[in-house]
Amino acid sequence: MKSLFVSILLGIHLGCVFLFNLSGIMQSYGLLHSLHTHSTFNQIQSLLLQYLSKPYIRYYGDCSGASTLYGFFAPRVGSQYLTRFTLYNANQQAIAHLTVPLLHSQEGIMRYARLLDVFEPLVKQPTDTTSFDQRYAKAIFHNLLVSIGRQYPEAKSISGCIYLCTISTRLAFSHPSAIRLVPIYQHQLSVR
Amino acid sequence: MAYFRLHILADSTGFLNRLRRCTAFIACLALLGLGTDYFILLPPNSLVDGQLLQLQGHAPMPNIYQLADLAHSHFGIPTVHFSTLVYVSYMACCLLLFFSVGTTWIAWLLLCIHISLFTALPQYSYGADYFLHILLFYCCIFHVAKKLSAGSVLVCQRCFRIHLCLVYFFSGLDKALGATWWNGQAIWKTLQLPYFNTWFGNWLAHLPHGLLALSGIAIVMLELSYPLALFNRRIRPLLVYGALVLHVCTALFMKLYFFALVMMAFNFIAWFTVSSLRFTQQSIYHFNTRPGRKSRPTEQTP
Repeated sequence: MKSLFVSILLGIHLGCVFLFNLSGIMQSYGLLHSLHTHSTFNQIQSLLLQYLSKPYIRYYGDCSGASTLYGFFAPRVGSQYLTRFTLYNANQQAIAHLTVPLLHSQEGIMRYARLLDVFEPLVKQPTDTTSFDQRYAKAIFHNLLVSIGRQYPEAKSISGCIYLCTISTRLAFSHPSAIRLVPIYQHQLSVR
Repeated sequence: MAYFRLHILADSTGFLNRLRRCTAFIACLALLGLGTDYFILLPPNSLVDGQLLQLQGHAPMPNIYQLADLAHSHFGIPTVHFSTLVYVSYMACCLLLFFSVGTTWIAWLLLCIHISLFTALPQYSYGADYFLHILLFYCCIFHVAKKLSAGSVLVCQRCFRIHLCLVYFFSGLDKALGATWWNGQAIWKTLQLPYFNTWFGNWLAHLPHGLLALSGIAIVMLELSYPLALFNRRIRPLLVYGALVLHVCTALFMKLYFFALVMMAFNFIAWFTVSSLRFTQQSIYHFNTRPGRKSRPTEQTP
């Protein structure tokens, strides 16, 4: 009887894992085929989202990790963002160039790379400067500049640039470097 | 029947021990892997202001910044000391969990600290954090289930295996939806991404395009067919060892060391029992002693 009780609870848990990921797969499909007009598909998707956005389901998903989606590098590999910071002294001479600020471990760098995903709205909605996501991305960058500048007592000002790293497709690849860095946002401020 | 029951119980106990020890070991590495960067990414010297980070994302419990503020305002603990305290508590919980001291409560405490540190702020979290979160959650509930009834541990092991199959299946299905995993472009692009770029990856990226396409298709097929490991014992070793090779490759070619380790541990906990290791040993022995092949004198019959 107790085994049956445990089985039912674990079955519900696995059901949650399944439904969260099903919803993720449907979103991926919608992303790839944005012009599709399958009304049944849309109905199922909206019902699923409605069910999964219920507070107690959402809370359980976050606590148990059931809401984790498993589509790594899927359905396609996204672009990465890079940063470059230059620190200047009182004579406006560059005293340091940084790409990854102050981090040493591979784990730390991975997490920094993950943080840079907040800059996506600067590319996706370049004209909508009033949107929350875009203002948030700029605020994060401003904050990064301030905290890096604080680590260098001799620095008077700091400038930084965010680049979108685009990679040419293999078939179109004919020049030595397949990676192209496109500057998407620049900012400069005085530290002290 | 008695032998069967004994076998099940022995295997189940092994499963819980593997889960507990592997989870504690990996959680310990999660923090050790960060090194001094822990104090750069998180308070008090955090790269990005905590209040700004908290504007995005929702978490089931307070994150490290909120806890630090709480500790400062209510108990007067300076943020720097609080961060160190959290670090030491996390490591102590890992050690206690590894040596099975107060397993259930320690596992819950470790899960709470893990959420506050790693997954409550999605801006800094990636796949490995979420998988470690899942392992910790299973550590908590499976030890509670064990207290309910001994037979339920076998149910827990099945649940863990089904979850792992869902992980690979959905990962494969998501990849299969996009064209780039079928034509090799995804592999090429992944190996070129700046933060994942390695010497090995560069070397692999310059292989003929057909080989890249083939490896992309192989990954999708492996992930989609992984659930067959649940039902078919014959192809199980092929799928599980295939997944292990895939994770070794992600570590070598993409510098995703910790993520690879977590996934390998997931596979190890789910499928590798003492009897399965013995089975592997026997297979190697029979392979080496089959007719027309000389066995090495150092090998012993298991």
